[in-house]
Amino acid sequence: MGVSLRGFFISRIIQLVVTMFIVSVVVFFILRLSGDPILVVAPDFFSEEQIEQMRKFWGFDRPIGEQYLNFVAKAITGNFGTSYLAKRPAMELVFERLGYSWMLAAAAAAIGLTIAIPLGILSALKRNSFVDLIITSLSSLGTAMPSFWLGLMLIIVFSVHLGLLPVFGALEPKAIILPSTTLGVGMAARLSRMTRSAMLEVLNQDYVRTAHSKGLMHKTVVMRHALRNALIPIVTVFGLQLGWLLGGSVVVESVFSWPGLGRLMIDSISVRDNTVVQAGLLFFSLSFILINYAIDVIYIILDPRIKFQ
Amino acid sequence: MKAARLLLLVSLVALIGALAIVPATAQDDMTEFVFAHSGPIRPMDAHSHWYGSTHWMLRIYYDCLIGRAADGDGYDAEAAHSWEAVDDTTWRFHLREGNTFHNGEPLDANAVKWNIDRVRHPIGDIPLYQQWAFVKEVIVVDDLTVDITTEEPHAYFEYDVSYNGCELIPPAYFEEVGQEEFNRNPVGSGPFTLVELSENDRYVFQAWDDYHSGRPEVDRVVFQVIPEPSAQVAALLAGQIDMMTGVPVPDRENLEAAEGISLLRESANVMYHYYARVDTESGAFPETFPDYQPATLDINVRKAITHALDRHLLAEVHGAAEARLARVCSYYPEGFAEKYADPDIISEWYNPDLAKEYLAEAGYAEGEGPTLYLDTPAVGRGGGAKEVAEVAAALLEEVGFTVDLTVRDASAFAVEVQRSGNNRDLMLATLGCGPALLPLFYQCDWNAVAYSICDEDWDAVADAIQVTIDMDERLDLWEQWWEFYIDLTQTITVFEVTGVMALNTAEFDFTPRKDGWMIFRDLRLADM
Amino acid sequence: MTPTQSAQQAKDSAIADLPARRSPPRQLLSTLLKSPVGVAGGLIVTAVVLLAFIGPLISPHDPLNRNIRSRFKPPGFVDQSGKVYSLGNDQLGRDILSRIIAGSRVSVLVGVISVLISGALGVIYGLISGFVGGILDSVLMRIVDGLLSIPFIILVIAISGIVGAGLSTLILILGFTGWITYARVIRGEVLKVREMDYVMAAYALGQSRLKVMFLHILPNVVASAIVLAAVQVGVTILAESSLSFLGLGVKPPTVTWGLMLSDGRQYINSAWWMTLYPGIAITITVLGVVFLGDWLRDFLDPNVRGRA
Repeated sequence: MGVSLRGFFISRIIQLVVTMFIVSVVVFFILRLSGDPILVVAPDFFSEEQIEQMRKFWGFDRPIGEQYLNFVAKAITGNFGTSYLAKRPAMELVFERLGYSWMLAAAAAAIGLTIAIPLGILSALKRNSFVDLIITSLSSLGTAMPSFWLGLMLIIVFSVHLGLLPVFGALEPKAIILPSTTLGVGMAARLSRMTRSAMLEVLNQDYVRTAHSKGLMHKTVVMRHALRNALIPIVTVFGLQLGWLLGGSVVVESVFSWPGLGRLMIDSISVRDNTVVQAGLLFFSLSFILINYAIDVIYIILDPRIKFQ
Repeated sequence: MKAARLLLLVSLVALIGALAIVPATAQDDMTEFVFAHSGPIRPMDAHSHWYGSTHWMLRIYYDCLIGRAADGDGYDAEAAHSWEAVDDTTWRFHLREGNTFHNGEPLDANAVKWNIDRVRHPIGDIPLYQQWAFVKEVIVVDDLTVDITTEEPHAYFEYDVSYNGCELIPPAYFEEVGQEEFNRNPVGSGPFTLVELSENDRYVFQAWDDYHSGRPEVDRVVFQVIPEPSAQVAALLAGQIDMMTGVPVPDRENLEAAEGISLLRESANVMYHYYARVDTESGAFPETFPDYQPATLDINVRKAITHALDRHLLAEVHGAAEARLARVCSYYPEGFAEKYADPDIISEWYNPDLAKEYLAEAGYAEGEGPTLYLDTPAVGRGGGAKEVAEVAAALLEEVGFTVDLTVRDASAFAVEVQRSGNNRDLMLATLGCGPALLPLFYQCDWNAVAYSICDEDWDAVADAIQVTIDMDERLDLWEQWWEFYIDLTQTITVFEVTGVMALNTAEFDFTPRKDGWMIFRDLRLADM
Repeated sequence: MTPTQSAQQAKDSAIADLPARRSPPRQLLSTLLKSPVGVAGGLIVTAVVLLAFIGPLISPHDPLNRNIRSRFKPPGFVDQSGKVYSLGNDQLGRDILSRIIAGSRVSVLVGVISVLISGALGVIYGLISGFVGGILDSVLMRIVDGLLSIPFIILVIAISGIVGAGLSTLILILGFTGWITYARVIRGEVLKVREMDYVMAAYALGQSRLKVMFLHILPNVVASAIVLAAVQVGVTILAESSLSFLGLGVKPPTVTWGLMLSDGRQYINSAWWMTLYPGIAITITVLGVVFLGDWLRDFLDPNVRGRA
């Protein structure tokens, strides 16, 4: 037996703190280096005096080290600063958009899983057949397509020509169909490739052969033994993809004017609204790390051989 | 296998859940006008920023003392029902009796004084005070009368007092809740109240029954942020929105042909200029390029540039623009010397041979003109900046220049070039053309980051313009002013952008304002 | 404490899409010809690389030549002088086909050079982390975790904000952000390899740690790096197009497919050809790289070989 459950969690929490510290340093300094936000906020004709005054108000006249310490000190208490532009707390803006991003990620993940797993299994079971060729080609195609381009093409067909689905926003339930399909297709492509190779790997292993030779039904072997073991890498990719969905939705959200976190990030980066970008990025990172921890726990459930180490 | 089934089940539930959470649009029989705004939309605290397109939206939510008339002719009564100049430096405003903000707070002389005093002083990072520096004092005469005094006679008093920051917000409520909460839950004073606010995404306004000049005809006006022009077009064709601006060139025919949709054209009050660098001191330039001597320091080079540009061609490349030689929008009657807008004169102005002569005069051999660094944003206000720059570069190369063109996205352009003053020979400036601020920009004591130009005689004319209240006298001064502008060739004006809008005319009736602002106070339902 | 070992391995191999074990790259061509997917991938990639080199020779028009009067012309447009524009014209009347041909050069440049940079960085990082182990390993891996948890595209956008747009900076940005994936995978491989008998034997023979690292461990993880590199070429080409699409990539007059998409997107309702064809070009190219990568993986991994 490995160490206790408690030890496992404590170590994870320490790791989390260290990682988030690194993220905060990277994010803070990259943003500070990426240009003076005041220059974006100020109108064309502002005098240097006016600009200097704004700089002072937001504390940009302080040494950068001091600015960072201030930021961390406040961030620990949950205060991520005020948006330069919206003049409201940055985290509040992030949380406002969060629901929409989760919604989109959930729908895309659902589409991705429902397509990928059955197809991946089918493709592995019928490997080298015509069906397999079709499925693998489609999944390669799905990986190769730029997601925003697929989004644009879907808009042309379903919104412009057929007039079936809304072009923008999140105002009615069917508005989620196009953006989530756009994201889900890319995810399905990657997941089904993973499912197929994981299944192949497992089907080739001795215990599955043994199970077969014991005369177990083919279906039982596939479902009971093979899939369970194949699920480990699939879940991993799924976890990574979920993190990717949160971040990768950036472009798709801007194509569909979806009011999620990704679009908030793009909008804020383009006007150097650094407090919002910081809050958003730290939140992204935290969710990504937590998703991966959750996946570690799922491993343990899926595979009793893996112990807490 | 359980885990797999569970996974699928969870994902299915998530999908259904996601579909269920998306709010359904309110279905009622109110008339709703949806305007596609390209974003961004800034805070509801109108005194805290200078974002024109946000102020357009705010102007249906807040009253000012007076507003600029939609047809460009004079001013409309808003919170003040009448006003007059008492003397050269005092203006008196008479407020409406019993008028209130949306929350019932009285809109009286004290409220007006609080607002104007707020916007003309630096509070926090509120940066509008220099634009309100013309105000000397706000005096409460009685509950319904307020005087605004200026230091000197102010030629553009009404124009400036109806500009960004003029919006009236309720003092007591604001001081009670503070700026943050006010931005979340604002209270206005105009013909529309706010019923839904999703920051920088969607703003739903509803007609205010108690508005002093009558309830607006359209029940709801929605500002919906849709950044992509193509998505706006598709949404308009699908009936999801009712109006958009900046219709892309190839879509114009299709929209015109679509039933119930019409194209509207009106000056957008935005001009394209190429700024030439005429000094080596202003902005960050001396630190960034310590040894660089811009070719444009030589006035002959600048003249070569202005004659090398085929403005009609550039306007055609842009897709909706009128060639201009000077920074005067068609909206303003102020000293608009017709010759600077005359298509024939502009055609003649394009003279590659003359450009070559000027280059020769500047000491360059035929075909061996200097290198010009040209900076441009990719889109620019009114669109098409990149395409225009590519063609402008080709035109300049035809007379012998070598052009090094750099295209940046809008914010990078602002940070790296425009606002920091890192422009070298030429940079694009897409700016409005109001007469009040214009003379200031070219005065010796104006510390612009992009250039520094100083001509004593020109300065004297500019000073005189600002304090000359008599219109005819002022127009004479403007004539002289424009001569300097053309002659010194620091700002090389290219064209005035025409706004191309598409409107759902089956349901709504809207005449674009002459100043290019999208203010929907005058929105009507179409006659059935 | 380190994360659960097998979970970590599963993650690492998942990132690499099940990377390879060792196998000397022999009989390359003959095995390639036996795999239809490999052949297809090889053909596509060769064609794109060829286009990048001889593009100007076969280009029907000058990709920069504009003609305002024939802008937004649909595919098959024939101008007054009888010249054919088979894929139509863009917003400045430039020939789309010629621009797609010209754009292949940037895709190849960006794909290859930035993958070389990120591959080299990542392999060295992973090698050191896995080989040295201990506290250094923990620190290095926390840094990787941290960077990995920031969405790649946002990281790139933020950095490109600092250094500005342009072809060479774009290549560098993609190169200096792409190494993270390699670092994780290579470290995992190193952990496996360093416990192998022959490494132990090398130590027993008195070889220095540095020698062991470079002579015995490095060659055995290179195969994984190659497979990963093939995947990353595709990822990088897509990243270039996303960045240019968002207006943060290469600047004109350099022609890139991403930039063409970005130009075309505001006209998709009417001039759909401006968006459709560059998108197809990107998709086919990446597809070719993916196919080639699949084959390479199968070829380098004896356990999987022959199955696909």
